[in-house]
Amino acid sequence: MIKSKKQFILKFFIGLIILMMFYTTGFSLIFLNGSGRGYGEEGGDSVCDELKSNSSIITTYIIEGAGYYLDAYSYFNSLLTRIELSDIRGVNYIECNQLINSALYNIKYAKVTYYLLIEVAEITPYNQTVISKLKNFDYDFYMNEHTLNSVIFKDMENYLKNGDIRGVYRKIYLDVIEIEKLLTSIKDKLSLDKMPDLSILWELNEAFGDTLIFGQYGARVFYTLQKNK
Amino acid sequence: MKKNKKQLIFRVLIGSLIIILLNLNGFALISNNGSGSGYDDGDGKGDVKDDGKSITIENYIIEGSGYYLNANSYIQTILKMVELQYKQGIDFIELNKVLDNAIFNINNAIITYDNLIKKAENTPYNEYVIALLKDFDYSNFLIENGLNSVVFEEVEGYLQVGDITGIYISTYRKFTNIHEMLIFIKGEVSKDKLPGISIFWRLNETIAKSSIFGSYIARVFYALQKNK
Repeated sequence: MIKSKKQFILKFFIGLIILMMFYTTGFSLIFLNGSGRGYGEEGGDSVCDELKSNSSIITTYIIEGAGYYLDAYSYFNSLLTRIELSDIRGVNYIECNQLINSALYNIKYAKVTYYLLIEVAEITPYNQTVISKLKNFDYDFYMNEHTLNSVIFKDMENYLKNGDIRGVYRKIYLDVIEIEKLLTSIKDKLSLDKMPDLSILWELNEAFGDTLIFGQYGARVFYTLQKNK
Repeated sequence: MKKNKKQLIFRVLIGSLIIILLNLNGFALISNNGSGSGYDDGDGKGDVKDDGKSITIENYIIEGSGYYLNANSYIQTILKMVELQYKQGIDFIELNKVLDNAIFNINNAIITYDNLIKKAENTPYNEYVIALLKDFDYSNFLIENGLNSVVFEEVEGYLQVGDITGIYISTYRKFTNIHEMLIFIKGEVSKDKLPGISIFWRLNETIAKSSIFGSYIARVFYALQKNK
């Protein structure tokens, strides 16, 4: 009887901690959010507190990285507007250079933030409850229900169904490095008061869009896991 | 001999005409650009005059894209504010301003595309460009450029049957969809509330897909020009 009571208290306690871990701040947002929940283990000792603290750091890095990324994309769209209208209004290279510098500044910060995120994620063990939910998630049903882009969603699925949240961070990091390269190449041209090659603008425009959708699909899945807890 | 000379002159003439048709101003840009070449004599111009200026299909595309890209820039700022809300809080006055700017620009993009569609519907296609579109190797282009097959197949669905106006109508619908979502968000934000996250996801995905869609169309028309 006493043993059953102890087991019940233990189960209740573990359940409570899991619930608390699901309610990390900054969960239900735009880009990769919620994935920080996949780290840290249940428990109440000091080691666990440390791990929970890492989970919170991971979430903070995700939010910060997304903020920089979205800012960079915003500046890039402003630059595209100027380039698109250049035949009608002419080109103000001073303004274009300011916009590309702002986009680059933000993407560099996003890169550093994702680098730090990966560092923390690599020394933080996964939360096996969340990993198990990711492995059992019905990805096909979810994709069809929400009519998501199958190419991008399958890419995300390949990481999550294997519980490879760190792989998602690494992929975003590599995407951001590629975006930085393309932005730098545009900056090189603009700084000479020359228009960048059109193919680079397309490539960059598409890269920004693809990575954004990819990150958002991650946030969607983690949000659904939380909702269905 | 005389006949051969005539044939040569005729060929040179036709060749020159094709080169002129494909060398359009405002061709090589970001979103949907170049598709104006599929109309009339291929310069994207019709016969409508407005305020003494010839309004061209290509100009409508450039103007519409300008408004759309500006709206996209404001939308990314909105998303950033939503993303950082737990860290920085939400400045609803600022958010309202950014939303107004996004709505203003997407609204202008809708008006421009409405005019574009009307103009396109009253302008006959350039059959030469339509033939090029029908013969274009979409599969190879998709693989060669590592494009997203889902979005590219949508583009191909219109272009391989020469339905350029269909692209404008599809883009117009995407814009009205974005406008509706922004109006819904504005309704909540004007009461100092944030709507549920799913509306931001849909907005984000719609705008990202629209950008990629427009970019792929510009790519195809650019490739047609390059391969002339």
